[in-house]
Amino acid sequence: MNLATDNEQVLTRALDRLPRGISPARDLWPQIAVQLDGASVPKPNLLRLGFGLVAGLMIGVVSLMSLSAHPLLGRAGLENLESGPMTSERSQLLAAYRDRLAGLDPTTRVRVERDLANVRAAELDLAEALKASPESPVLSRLYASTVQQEFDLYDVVVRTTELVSIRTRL
Amino acid sequence: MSAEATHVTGVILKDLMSADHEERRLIELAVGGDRTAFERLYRAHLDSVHGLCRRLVGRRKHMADDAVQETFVSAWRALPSFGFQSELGTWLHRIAVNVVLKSERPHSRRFEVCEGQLDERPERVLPDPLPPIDLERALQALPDGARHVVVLISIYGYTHQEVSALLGIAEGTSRAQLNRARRLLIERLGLETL
Repeated sequence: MNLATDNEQVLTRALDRLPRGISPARDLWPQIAVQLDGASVPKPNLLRLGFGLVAGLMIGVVSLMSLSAHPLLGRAGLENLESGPMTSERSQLLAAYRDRLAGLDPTTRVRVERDLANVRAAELDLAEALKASPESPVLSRLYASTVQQEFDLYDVVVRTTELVSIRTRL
Repeated sequence: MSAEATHVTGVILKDLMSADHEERRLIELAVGGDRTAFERLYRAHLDSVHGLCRRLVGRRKHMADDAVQETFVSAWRALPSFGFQSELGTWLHRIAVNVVLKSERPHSRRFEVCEGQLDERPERVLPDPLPPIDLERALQALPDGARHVVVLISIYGYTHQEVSALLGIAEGTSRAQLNRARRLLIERLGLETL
């Protein structure tokens, strides 16, 4: 074996023996932690949230319009929506939603509240219609769907503001 | 493979999978804003990231700690986009390389002078095996481009293709820089006298 090859092998062995890790002389975390305060994890785009809600509602409207062609929900299903665990879940979601609503920027908050008002108005209309025609499966299905939209709206607001809320607490 | 070897391999694999699972859990917590989880990730990868930064910055040792800090702050900011497409360690290395390269741009002219000095006055030492401290010093004295390539390839195991992407250079340049680095190291360490 020639000298050049020997040298290459000695160098390769020496480089292989070097440890990958080197501990710093001091703990760097305190200075990093201070900088993390000013370098927050990207927050959800609240403007996008507003657009998302509008888009969601539009999809809901399209779904409602197509319901007449689908199997229909019976009266029993509607009653389940208005009592028992669904009511409890709705109350909890509503409480969380109200808590988080205050954290939204004013423009988005107004839009969310307007969308919610529209959904609730639709619920009231459908509830009135159901009083007149309690056996109508179409109305039952529409009502259930609208209630679900209300749930979805609370859920979207609560989940998408979760990250902001955690970061604010830290 | 014997039953015992199979068992040992199984235990090792299980440990590795468990570690992966734990790291994934910590990443998900950190993405949600959990700083304690992020600190654990920092402690797990600190030595590797610091070692890379320390070697990439060469003689500007004082910049290594700053580079490490900037790497982890950038990682915290970018963690939601991590996406588990690569290992976290590789991802952190990529950030560290970018941080060091960015910090070196104003110094590039100064280090061309160092390169000339290195070629002219190789030190002659060298018993075998090479004391690591001498090799570390020789690495520090390399020109920036050669040092980056030899550190990433010969110590951290990256390929020329990966180094090409990390440093933004052609693969041919990476190969040329590696040859240059090894030649300079051999000269500096006095290996030609062995």
